[in-house]
Amino acid sequence: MTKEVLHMDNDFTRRSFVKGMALGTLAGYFGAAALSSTVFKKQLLPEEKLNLTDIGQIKGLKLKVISETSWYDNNVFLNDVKKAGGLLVNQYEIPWTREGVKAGYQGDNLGGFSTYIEAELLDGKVLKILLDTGWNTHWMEKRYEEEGITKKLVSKEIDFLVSSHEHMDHFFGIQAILRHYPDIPMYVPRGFYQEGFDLLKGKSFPKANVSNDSPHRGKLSILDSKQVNILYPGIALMTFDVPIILRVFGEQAFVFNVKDKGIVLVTGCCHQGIISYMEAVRKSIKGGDKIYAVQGGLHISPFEDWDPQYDDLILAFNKYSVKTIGCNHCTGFITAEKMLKAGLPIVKGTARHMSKRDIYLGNGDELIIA
Amino acid sequence: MAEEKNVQEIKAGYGRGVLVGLFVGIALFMLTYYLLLMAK
Repeated sequence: MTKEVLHMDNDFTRRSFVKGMALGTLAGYFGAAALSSTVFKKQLLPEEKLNLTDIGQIKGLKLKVISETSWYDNNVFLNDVKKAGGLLVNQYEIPWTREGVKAGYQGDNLGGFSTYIEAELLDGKVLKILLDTGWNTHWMEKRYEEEGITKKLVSKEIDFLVSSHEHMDHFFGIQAILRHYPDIPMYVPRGFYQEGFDLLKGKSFPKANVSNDSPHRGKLSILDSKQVNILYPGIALMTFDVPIILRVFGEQAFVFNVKDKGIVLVTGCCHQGIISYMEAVRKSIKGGDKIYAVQGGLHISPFEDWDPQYDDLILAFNKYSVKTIGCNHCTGFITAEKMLKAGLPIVKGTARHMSKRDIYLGNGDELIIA
Repeated sequence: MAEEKNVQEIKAGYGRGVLVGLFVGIALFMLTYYLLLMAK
């Protein structure tokens, strides 16, 4: 009798243990899922309230890389910065190496960044735009000549010039443009230092070996980050308040909305971070959740160093389902290789006009979106 | 007296079950989450 009771007790305890465990397992599983915001994000978190701006549309877009080679020898460039005191030193105070560089253009280590853009509006009008002015005037004049830009500047066919940011390789070559078209309308981001405005007015900075013999006489617009700056229907600039090395502040980049394709982002250096840029576009521009193409410098591994966190950055790209990536300049060859390996749609170039590798959309290469 | 002891044992068994279950449930969730992430 005692044995029977004992057996019954164990049985009850086991049964209640199993019942409890079943309940606990369910509670544990769904409790963890509920607490993990990534799984039940949509159900648990309030919907994101977005204030989307409709920037309009354009019919098509043609992007031509004039120069993406900002300097030719990374070690020489880094050595110049190091000798001057490091990455926080004012760029106008650094004696940049201009002679005796084997890999350079005629021995000069300096090149520059500039992109030519043709945007066809819905009414058929084609806007001609220059993004950035490069660095080395000799190199930039040669490239502008080779790509037929000089002619367009002389005949005032270029509608306006956009300066993405004040960095030397994007801005110090300004006289290569102003010599041919001093009245060109120009957009700069808020954050330009006085030296930048002085250079535009014709001041020289002998220490940095930079000068401008053709003062800017056209309209100068300073854009800020408070709103999406719509320049024409389907063409906008987004400005970011971002501190950048070599004492520069602020950067802006293009957002085009191409009919039947979607949003196309065109950057200079993208110091604001490519993911931050895409997020900002998603949160502020209608249709920004689907980015069709990204072109320009993505600033991930400009000096060809790699940090494991950059792998996450490449993974994050998938979220935006970008259809075309024409990267170059400060993106980093390692980044481009890893993107290609991760299956991202990298458009290859032709490695001409001193562009080193075809993994970049290089000097003289085009990306047409229409 | 024996009946009271029995009820207590049942309760204790249930409680232990819930506790173990919670751990198992969380572990299962973490496993499925990891597998889903890997499969992506």
